[in-house]
Amino acid sequence: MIQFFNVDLHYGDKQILHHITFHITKGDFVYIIGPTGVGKSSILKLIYFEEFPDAGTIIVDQYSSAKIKPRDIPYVRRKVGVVFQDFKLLPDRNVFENVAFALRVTGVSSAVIKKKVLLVLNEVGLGHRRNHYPRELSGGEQQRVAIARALVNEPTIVLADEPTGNLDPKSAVEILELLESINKRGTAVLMATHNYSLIKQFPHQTLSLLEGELREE
Amino acid sequence: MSILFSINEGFKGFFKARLATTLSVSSITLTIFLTGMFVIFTINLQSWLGFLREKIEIELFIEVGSTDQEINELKNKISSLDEVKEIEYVSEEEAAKRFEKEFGQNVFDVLEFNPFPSSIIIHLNKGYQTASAIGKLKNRLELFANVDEVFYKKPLLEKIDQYVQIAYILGALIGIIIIIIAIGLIFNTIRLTIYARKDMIHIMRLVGATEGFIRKPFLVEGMIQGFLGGSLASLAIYYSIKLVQIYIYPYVISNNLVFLGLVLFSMIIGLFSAYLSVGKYIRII
Repeated sequence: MIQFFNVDLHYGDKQILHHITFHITKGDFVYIIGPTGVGKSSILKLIYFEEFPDAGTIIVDQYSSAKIKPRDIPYVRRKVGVVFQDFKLLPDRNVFENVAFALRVTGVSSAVIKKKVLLVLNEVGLGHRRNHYPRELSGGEQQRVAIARALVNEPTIVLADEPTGNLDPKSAVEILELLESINKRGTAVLMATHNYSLIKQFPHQTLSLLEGELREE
Repeated sequence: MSILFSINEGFKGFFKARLATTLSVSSITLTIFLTGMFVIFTINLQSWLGFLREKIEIELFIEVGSTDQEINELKNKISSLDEVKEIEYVSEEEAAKRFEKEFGQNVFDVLEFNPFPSSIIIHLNKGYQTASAIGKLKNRLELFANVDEVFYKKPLLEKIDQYVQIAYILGALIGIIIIIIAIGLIFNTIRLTIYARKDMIHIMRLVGATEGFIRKPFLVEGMIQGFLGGSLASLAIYYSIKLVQIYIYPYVISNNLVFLGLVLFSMIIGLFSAYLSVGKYIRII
């Protein structure tokens, strides 16, 4: 599903990734760990084609970083749900609309949107808060909305970039439980984090990124 | 569905950047108002000049001693010309009568003979009432047999043509300047809305919206600005004309097509400016 072959990435003179090779298949749950600024987010950005490698190839479904056309990128992103540390919700829209937004911009009909959004909101346990605005929710709840938005397009993989970074320990555990339940239903999860205690609590395949090199823990 | 989304988002953006939008719409209103007033002025000038042109006629004097048959042939020849709408034959006697009517004195009281030659007054078709067309026609008429002299009010006609030209050039210049101003204003407002909605654009990209889809709401917004500016300007022009008709000059004419044209024109400018702005700024967001 996702394959990295000898991927190199530089920011100016600084080498971020050096000959990275790994793959993720359907149903995997993988952590990428490493200190802040080491390039964990860059790996995620390479997967949803926000960035492109300087050398090597990334394959996501049938698309290759070497050959993908800009007009095809939106279609890859519909199959990849992304969740961030800062949630990235739209403050002027309620919970329902924030989640529906992902479907509206891909031209889905209103009837289908309503059904899918309510379903996914129940899945993340926020069906009853659909009319609330992000500012009325706790951090953990906001992250759930972001996860619901990532899931509503029924992606094959969810990329979570430090999803618990802004949360208290209790909410962080709840988010991990949610990600695990999503994973159990077949959606792959790739999570970048430096929260080692959470990894101990929820052990999964762990890749460690240090000085551009990726090692299995 | 996606069209509805674009329209909905376009309106949202319109209301969100309220200050920039208000400034932009009021400036568009002002510029379109000026354009519209100039169009109305030109229409009135055209109509007034057209009225003047209608009065322009060519007077062709027939050689003294021409026979009736020669005169008839000349009349037929002139009537068959494309430029000629109708002709009016003024015999020597008729000319003397007209003199008496105009000056209140019988020519035979002053002179022992009738000094007026017979003549043909030529009225012209529309489109041939310009100085250059009449000049050419005069040259041709002078070559006809039995023609003594051809006369028309050349200076007046040349003045009219000159004014029309000045009005056109001035109109085009004002129009271009106004269009540039309006484009600049809308361009800038859309730039501000793009920056104001940076986060939304990021999220749209993230969840797989196509670039075309991301751009559409901003284009809609540009059109809304154009529509509002054009409509407000049209209303202002409509009532200005009414006021002028009531208090200053009742014969001012206007044309409803002008109002429709202004609104459409304003919308096209809105769309075009938004297109430019989106093309330039959305990529670097």
